[in-house]
Amino acid sequence: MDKTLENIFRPFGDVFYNALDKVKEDISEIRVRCEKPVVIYICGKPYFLERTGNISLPKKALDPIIITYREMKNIFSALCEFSFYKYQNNINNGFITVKGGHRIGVCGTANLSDSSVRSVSDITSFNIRIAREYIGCSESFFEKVDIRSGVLICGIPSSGKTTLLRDIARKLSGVDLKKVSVIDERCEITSSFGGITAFDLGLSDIYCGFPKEKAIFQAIRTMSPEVIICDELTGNDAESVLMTLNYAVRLIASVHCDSVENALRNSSIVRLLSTGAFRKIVFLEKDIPCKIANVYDSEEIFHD
Amino acid sequence: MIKITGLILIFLASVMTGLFLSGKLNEKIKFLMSIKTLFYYFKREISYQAPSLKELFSENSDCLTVELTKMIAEKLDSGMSMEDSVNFSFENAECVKLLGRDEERDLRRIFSEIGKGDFESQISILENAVEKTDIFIDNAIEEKNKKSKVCLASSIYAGLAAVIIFI
Repeated sequence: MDKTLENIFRPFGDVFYNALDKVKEDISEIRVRCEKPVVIYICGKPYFLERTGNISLPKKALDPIIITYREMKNIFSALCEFSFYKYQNNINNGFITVKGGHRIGVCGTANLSDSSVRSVSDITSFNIRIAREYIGCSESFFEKVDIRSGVLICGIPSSGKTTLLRDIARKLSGVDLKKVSVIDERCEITSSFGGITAFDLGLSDIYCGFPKEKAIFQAIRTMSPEVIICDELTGNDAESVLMTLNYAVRLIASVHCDSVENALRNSSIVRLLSTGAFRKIVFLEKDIPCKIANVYDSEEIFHD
Repeated sequence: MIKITGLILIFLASVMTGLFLSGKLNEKIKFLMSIKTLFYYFKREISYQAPSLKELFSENSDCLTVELTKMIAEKLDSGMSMEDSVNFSFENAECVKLLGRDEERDLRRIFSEIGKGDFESQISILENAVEKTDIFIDNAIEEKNKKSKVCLASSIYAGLAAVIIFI
């Protein structure tokens, strides 16, 4: 088994490990809640794991494994490599990214200090999202989208935005030999540990863990990129986006959004589009990861 | 002749015991100093790099503590919790046998605390650990001085007794 998945499955114990090993290729999420059955999402559908080791649909599960608070704490501690200090800032932001780029969302009680989260205690649930690499998934993107200008990729969570960005970075830098800088604030695109990325990103220059505005500024000033790739932009990043336009650097980025109507209702996306840095807007299919549903011209959307 | 041989043997035995005990205590002091250096190393690494505990323990190369830290790193790698890894390693590592019961218990507790809290708490735990180790070192030096004095005195008395009887 892939070592990064093994690190995730092992703390759950032998029954889990053996059951998850059989379906490792198809697992997309594992949701752990205190004193509740663990829900495993396989091909997008939820399943429970029984004490016998069988994986059953929730309605058919007779004796699902319930995770106690103590077990949950131990599992979470193991996922944090028993080194909370390493993940402290990320936990305060509600997630951690472990080796392999797998993201773990964390729910619990926030302890505030000056209106910012100082720590998260009494963790009640966490959600492990398994990261995948689909080499070649950007082929249709390059067929349908003209990347001579900026592109904004829109999709709902788990629609494959990050996976697509990863493959775009690999193709542009590794095959087309463009100078690409990848801005990976949450260490999700690259999952870089010890300077080595878990995924193939070609010859990209990687800024991992940097705040976006800082990384974009540094990349422009020091790495002379032709393309900057960036995940999950928000309205606050509009100024940095404008900077890429001023320095004639193309930006390929993603946002959470499911339709043109919602994009135009979302003030953050409108702010990003109004910078003029994105000429093309790509919407991804809801059910099939990384598949392009529609491509729009941003001027066309604003005009309509 | 037998008396003289006996007295020489007593003299040699007390000198050898003194040397042996002082050697043991020297080893213990060196080991405690290495542990102190290890805590400084942990503090520095956590402050600047924030590596995981497994990386932290496996990258230590100090010859006196490497056995202990490698064992903890291996156990962490096999999926054992930090507390269990520390307990296992303290029970099995040869170097730990140099320590007294109280020192072992306290160091075991300090090692188990590493990694459990946030950044600030780690730094303060390690600062306290350095202070605690300093106390252990001072105690060990004091014990060594005391024991060497006793051995020196007993060997002198044995030597004097031998001289008196010989005369």
